Formats: sequence, structure tokens, C-alpha cells
Amino acid sequence: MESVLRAVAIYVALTLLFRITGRRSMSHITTFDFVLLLVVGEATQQSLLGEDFSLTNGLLVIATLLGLDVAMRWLKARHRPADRILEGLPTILVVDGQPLQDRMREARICEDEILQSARENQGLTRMEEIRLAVLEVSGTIAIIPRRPE
Amino acid sequence: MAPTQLQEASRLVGEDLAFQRRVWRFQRIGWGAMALVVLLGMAGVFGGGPLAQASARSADGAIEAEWEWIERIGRDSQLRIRGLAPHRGPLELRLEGGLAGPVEISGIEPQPAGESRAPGRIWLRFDPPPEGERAEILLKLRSSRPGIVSGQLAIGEAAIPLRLVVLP
Repeated sequence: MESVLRAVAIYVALTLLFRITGRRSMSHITTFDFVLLLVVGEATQQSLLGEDFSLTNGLLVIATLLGLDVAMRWLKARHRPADRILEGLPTILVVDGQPLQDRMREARICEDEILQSARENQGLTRMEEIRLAVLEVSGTIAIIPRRPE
Repeated sequence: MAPTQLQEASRLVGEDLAFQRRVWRFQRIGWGAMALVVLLGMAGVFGGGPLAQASARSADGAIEAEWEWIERIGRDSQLRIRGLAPHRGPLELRLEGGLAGPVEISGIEPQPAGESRAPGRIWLRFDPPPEGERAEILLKLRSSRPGIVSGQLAIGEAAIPLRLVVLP
């Protein structure tokens, strides 16, 4: 009973914390982000297991976490408002070569990051060549090039 | 850029800027809340800091105690006791209520000369301090259950009520 409650509490807390830190934090993982994830895992391990390091307790916690994840995916698939709240929506950052500065500021994304995505994904080097840049729910920036005239 | 282009693009990608702005606002509030939690943690609201410290003295001044009134499960906290032996002979410290139950004593300095237990009560006997000096005793406490623990420390007739809030 206690192990299940611990796992639920950790799952809810981590979901909330990662939602607060924003979708950018989980994409384009840097070496430091990777280390940070390991440290988060280490910090939560003791809270999840308590002082019971038995195989039974470990399996119970894993089953609870995976079960919660399945339930969350089911909820997102069946309930559109829940999906919007938990995953967010795409946000347009550039239209027709024009950066939308207020949105970029709020999404904490600079022009350099958009141009980096444009180079990596479409081979574009200038903002004017971008028809649409969209911050996707995954945290990646999708680039749609302008059609040649 | 014509506004219609943005509207058209917005419709194509399924954007809802008003909703997204609410999400960004929620995130900014969340960052503030996280910073507040860190500051409160440093101040000791979750144990282990200045705000978690408490002290008390019995009415006759025979016993003084300093302890952490906010505690967390599995973490050792210190209960420092200074007391005068009521008369010649060993100093007998009595722990009553929650201090002899949900809270476990994980360490005692100096080692007591004797110890006895009864339900809800622990007696610890120490060598008496030199004449006119107070004995200083350090107990390390550890809780295994969250909740509020109430107990009492006593030497002879002098007593101090203690309360601990144990966080999960």
C-alpha cells in the first residue's frame, strides 16, 4: 500500500515539475541535461523504495509507475482537454520569414535556435527562407520552407 | 506579414495561443513556487534549518532542551538537553509519550550508565555532572512515521513538553 502511494506521489510530482520547467527542457538533451536526469533518478529512488529494497517492492513500484503511464496515455487519447493540458499545443514562431518576437520571448526561444533547426532540417540559412517555424509539443522546432517563386 | 497568413497557419497547425499563454503563465507561477520551496527549504521549513529549531526551559530552570521541531522520516535530528541533577546521585532523564514510541533514539552521547523501559516511558541514567555544573546530553532522534509527535522530557519534577512535526 505504502509503496503504491509513494510511486503515485512521485509520478504526479515529476509530471507537474517537468510540465512547469517546460517542453524545451526535454528536447535537445545536452550532456548536462543527461546528468541532471540521472541525478533526478537517483534522488527519487530512495523516496520510491523507502527502506524496503526487496524484489517484491521494486516490482510493485515499477508496475505502479508503468500502470500510471498507461492510464495517462489512455486519458490523453480519450480526453482532448486533458491532452492539451498535459502535452500542450504547437506554437507558431515564424510566419513568412517574420519572427514573432512576443511568442519567442514567452516560449524562451531565440532566433539562433530557429535558424539552427532550419539548417539542420531543411538546409536553410536565412530567416526569409522560412515560411513557418512551429514549436511542436515534443519541444522540437518544425521548419516549413517558403515555396520557390 | 498579413494577419490572414498567421490565422491560416494557426488553423493549419492547431494552435490556440490564448491557451498556450495560460500555460506559459502557469509555468512562470510554477518557477516562482519552485524558488519559494527552495528558499523555504533553506530556511528550515522542511527540517534541518533555523526555522526548524526550537528550545524550551522548565519553570524551575532545572532542564533546558533544544531540538528540531520539524523533522523528516529517516533523518536523524538532535535533541540537546542540559540539566541539573535534582540531588546527589545519578541524573535520571525520563522520556515520555511520543519520545518513547514513534520516535526512535538512534544515538545517545554520553552513553548512559543505565537504561530501562516501560510502555510510553524510557529512563536513562547518567553519571552526575560536577558540582554546580549542568550535564549536557545529546540524543539523536529518528522517526519512521509521518505525523505530529508529542512527548515530554523530565528530570525529577522538572519537565518540558516537546512537539515534533514529522514530514514524509
